[in-house]
Amino acid sequence: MTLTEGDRTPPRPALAGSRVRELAGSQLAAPATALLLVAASTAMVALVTPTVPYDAGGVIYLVGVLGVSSIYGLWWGLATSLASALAFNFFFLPPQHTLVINSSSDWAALAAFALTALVTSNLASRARRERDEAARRAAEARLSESFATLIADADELATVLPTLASQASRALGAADGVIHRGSPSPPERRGSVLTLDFNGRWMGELRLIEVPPGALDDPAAARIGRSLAGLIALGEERERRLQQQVQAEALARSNELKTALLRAVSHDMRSPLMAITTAAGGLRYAGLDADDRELLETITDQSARMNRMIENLLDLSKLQAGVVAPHADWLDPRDLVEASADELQRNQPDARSFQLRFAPDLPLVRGDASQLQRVIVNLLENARKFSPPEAPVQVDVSATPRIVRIAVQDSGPGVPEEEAERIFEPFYRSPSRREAPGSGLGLAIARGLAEANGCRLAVARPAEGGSRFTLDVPVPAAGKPS
Amino acid sequence: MTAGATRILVVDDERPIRRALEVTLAKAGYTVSTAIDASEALTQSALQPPDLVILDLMLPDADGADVCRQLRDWMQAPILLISAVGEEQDKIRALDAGADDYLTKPFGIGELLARVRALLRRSEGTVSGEQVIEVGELTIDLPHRIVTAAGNEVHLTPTEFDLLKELALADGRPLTHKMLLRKVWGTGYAQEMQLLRTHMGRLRDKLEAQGVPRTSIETLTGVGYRLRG
Repeated sequence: MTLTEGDRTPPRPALAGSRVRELAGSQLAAPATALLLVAASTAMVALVTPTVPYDAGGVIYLVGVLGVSSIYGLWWGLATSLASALAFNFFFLPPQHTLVINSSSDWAALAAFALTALVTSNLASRARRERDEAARRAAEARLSESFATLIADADELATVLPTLASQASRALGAADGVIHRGSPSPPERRGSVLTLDFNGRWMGELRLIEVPPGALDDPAAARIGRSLAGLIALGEERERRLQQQVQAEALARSNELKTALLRAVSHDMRSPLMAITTAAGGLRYAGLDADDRELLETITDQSARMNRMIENLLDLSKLQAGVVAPHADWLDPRDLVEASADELQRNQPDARSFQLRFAPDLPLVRGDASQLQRVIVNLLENARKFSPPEAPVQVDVSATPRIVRIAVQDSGPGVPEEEAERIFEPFYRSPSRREAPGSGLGLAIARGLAEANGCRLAVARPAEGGSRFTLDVPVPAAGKPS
Repeated sequence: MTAGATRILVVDDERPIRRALEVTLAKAGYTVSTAIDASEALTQSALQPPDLVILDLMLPDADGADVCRQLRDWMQAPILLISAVGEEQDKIRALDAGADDYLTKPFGIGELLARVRALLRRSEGTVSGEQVIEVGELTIDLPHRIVTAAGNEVHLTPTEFDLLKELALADGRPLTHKMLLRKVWGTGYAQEMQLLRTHMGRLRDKLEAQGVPRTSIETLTGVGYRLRG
C-alpha cells in the first residue's frame, strides 16, 4: 500500500480522520454511497427540469461525483461519474428511458459532463489525499511528541520501551508490539519486524503482532522507525550522561574526603616528629659526653629517616588516591636537574657528586616544579644507591622538538629486562639487589609523579652496562626560548 | 643588639614544638615569648614589639598570609615561616605578603639558629643604601651597573643586571617568582614565568663562564630564588 497514488482501498485506520474511518469501515460503503448520491441527483434533476433546461441540470450530478471522490478517492469518483452519465442519459436525454442519444448537441453535453466529472473527481481525490497525508503527518507528530515526552519523563529507558512499542505498533495498524534490543530477527521473520536504525546504528527492532499486510512498506512506517530509533538513542545517551554525572559526583566527594584525610594524617604524623627533632636539637647545648651525643644523634638521624618514610607513604597514598594535583608552571629543565643534584649534595655533602651534561638551548617545559624535582631526586638517589662507590652517576639532558629527555645513567648491575616494569611497582625489591637500603618506594613515586605531570619514565639496559632511566618531559608548542 | 635583649615571638599551635623552640632559643640567649594562635600573636606583638617572629604557617584560626600582612601593618621585624612539605602555595602567598624567610619541617636546630641570626643581622644594618654590594666573589656596582666576578667584568644585559641586583639587595632572603617579575619587569608581568626562567638561565650561564657556580643563585623549587652569600 502506498499513500502517494490514488488508492481504491480504504484509508488506513489510525492515521486518517475518525469519521472517515467509520464510514470506510465497510467494503460496501463506497458503492452504496455512490448509488445513493446518483439516485438523489437524478431526483433533484427531475425536480428542477420543468424550470431549468435538462442539460444544465447535469451539473447537479457533479456534486455527487465530488462527494464520492473526496471521500473514497479517484476510482470511486470515476465510477460515480460513469453511473451519473448513464442515469442522466437514461432519464433526461431524448429519447428518454433509453441509452440512445439522438442529437449531436446531446452527445456534446454528455461529453462535457463526463470530462467535467473526470476533472472534478481527480481534483477532489487529490484534495482528499493531501488532507489524509496532512492528518497522517499530524498524527505522526503527535506520536513523536508522545514518544519524546515518555523518554524525557522516564528515569530509565527500559521502563518506557513497552509503552513506546504499543503506541508505535497501534499507529502502524498492528494489534500490539514489543521493542526488542538483543539481536536482529532472522530474515524469515522480517515481515512483522520494523528495524530501528539511527544514523546507520541498529538500535533495536519493533516486533509487531497482527500487522496489516504492507503496513511496513509505508514511508510512514520508516519515519516512525527512525523517530523511535532516534529517541532510543537519545534515551541511551541521557542515561549514559546521568550515570557519568553520578559517578563524577561520587568521585569528587571521595577525592575531597581522601585529600582531607591525607592532610590530617600527614599533619598528625609529622607534628610529633617535628617536636622530637626540635627537642633533640635543643639538647645539643646541654653539655653531653660523647656517648650521650651519639644517642642524641641516633634520635635525630632516625627521626629524619622516619620523616622521609612518612613523606614517601603519603606521596604514594596521594598518587594511589588520585589526589596529586600538579601546579603546572614554566620550568627550565637545566634548573630542575641542577636544583635536584644540589638538594642531594646539601643533604649528603660527603657523597659523590653527579656529572651533569646539558645540550645547548634547551626549551622550557611545563610541570609542577616540586613534583618533577622529586622525580629527578629519586632517580639520582636510586642511581647513587646502585652504583659502586667510586663509579660516576651521569645525567644527560637533551631535547627534540617534542620532548626534553633527562637520562640518568648509573654503573650498577643494570635492571634485567623482565624487571623493567616491576621495579616501578610500590615495595618491589629486585631479588638480585635485596641488600640495597630503602623502602622500595622511590621509583614507584617517581613514576606516579612523572605520569601525573604528563611525562614518561622508563628504564633501559644500555650496551655499555649499568642502567639508564629516561624521563621524557613533553615540550609545549610555545616552550622554545624567546 | 645583644642576644639577651633580642626578643623573639614564637607562634605555633602545637605545645611540644612551641616549648622546644622556646627552650632552645632561650638557651641560645634570646628572650622568648610565645603565642598559640594568630590573635594572640597579634596582641603579643602589639604589647611588646618583637625583634623577630617565628610563625607556623598553618595556624588554626587564620591564614598564614593574612597574619603576615596584619603583622606588617605595624612592625618591620623579620618574619620567619615554619612550613611543611606540600604547603608551597601557602608559603609563596605568605612570602608575597611580607614574610622574610622560611624553613621546611623538620629542620635542624642549627639551621634555625643560622636563619634567625641572618635575619636579625639584616634588620639591624640594612643594605639598601649601599652603592656597591659584595656577595661571595661577586661585586655589584649599582650606580655604574657593573658586575665583576673575582675582578673580571661580567657583561650583562639590563634585564640580567636588574635580576642580579634584586637578588643581591634581598641579601640572602628568598624572592618569590612573582616578586622578581614585578621588580624587574613590572606589575603586569607577575605571571610571565617564561621570561623569568629564560633570563635566569642566561644570567647563570654568564656567571658560570666567569667561574661563579650556577648554584650561587639557589633555586627554591616552586617558590623562587635566593642569592647565596
